[in-house]
Amino acid sequence: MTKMTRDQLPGPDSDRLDALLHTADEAAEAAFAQQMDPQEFLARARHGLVNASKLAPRHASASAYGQDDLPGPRQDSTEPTEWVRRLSPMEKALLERLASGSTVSAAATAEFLSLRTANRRIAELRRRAGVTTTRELVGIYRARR
Amino acid sequence: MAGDDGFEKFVHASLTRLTLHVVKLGASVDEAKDAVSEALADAWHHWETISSPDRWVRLAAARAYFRSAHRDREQLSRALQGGMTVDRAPDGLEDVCGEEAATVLRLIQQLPRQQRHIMALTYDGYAASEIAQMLQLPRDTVRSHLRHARRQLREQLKIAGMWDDEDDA
Repeated sequence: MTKMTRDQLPGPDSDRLDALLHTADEAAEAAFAQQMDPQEFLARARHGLVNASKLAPRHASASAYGQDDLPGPRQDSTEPTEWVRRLSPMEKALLERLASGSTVSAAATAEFLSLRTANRRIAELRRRAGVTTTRELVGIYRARR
Repeated sequence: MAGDDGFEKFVHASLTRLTLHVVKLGASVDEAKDAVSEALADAWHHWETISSPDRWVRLAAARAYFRSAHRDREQLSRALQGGMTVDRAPDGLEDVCGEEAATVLRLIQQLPRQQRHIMALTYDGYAASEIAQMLQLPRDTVRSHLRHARRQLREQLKIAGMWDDEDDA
């Protein structure tokens, strides 16, 4: 894949703007390259597959080429515990960790998530389950899994 | 798994550009890593059916980030309605890539969503016709967004003191 070509960006200031943006882009790319560990990302991706193979299928990727609109919050309200059946592999893996006694922090580490992401996903699950505490959430999950 | 080699090569070759791409869409470095992780996990799951991994993973990562940003906005809105004060954590962009590159990235992040998406794809080497196909937009619309984005970036660069007015003449 090539970088942006001149004919895409006509105009008298194109060269200067291109040069400035490309300089910043290359600096950022070089800096990012030092921060990224491909092995970590490979492990995360493969870990997701291990979970996916034993859990319910995901549907999000099928729409990766879809329209540009943003999906709204998930609608899981046909049954009180319908959300349990609709858990994504990652959500289920997180809940499994919590149900087996892990802390959120330990579950996040084990699932290759940042603590912020884990907390966000758990908050989303609490919302979908209609409960206010993680303890309640895990209790419902234990009873229904 | 079949295709494991291809996937591994793809991750090694594309990881940095993918993450930078999501940062340009408005993500912090951590948010970008999360979105790329999610997209790669999906890609790994569907690897053998994906004909154009570069495009597929970029779009999947963009959607993952936009979904996450949408959720964050909703939660922020609820928190503010509930009377909470919320501090946004610093995203660490300056620490990662330096002041000047971070400033330019932030200017791209401040463009309207469609414009920054098109700019990010353009800087990853996609032509307007390819972007039009990827985002299901008319090609002229893509060109128009690109033109507006470039004009706005130039104005913002002037304000940031990174564009010399004398050279405009």
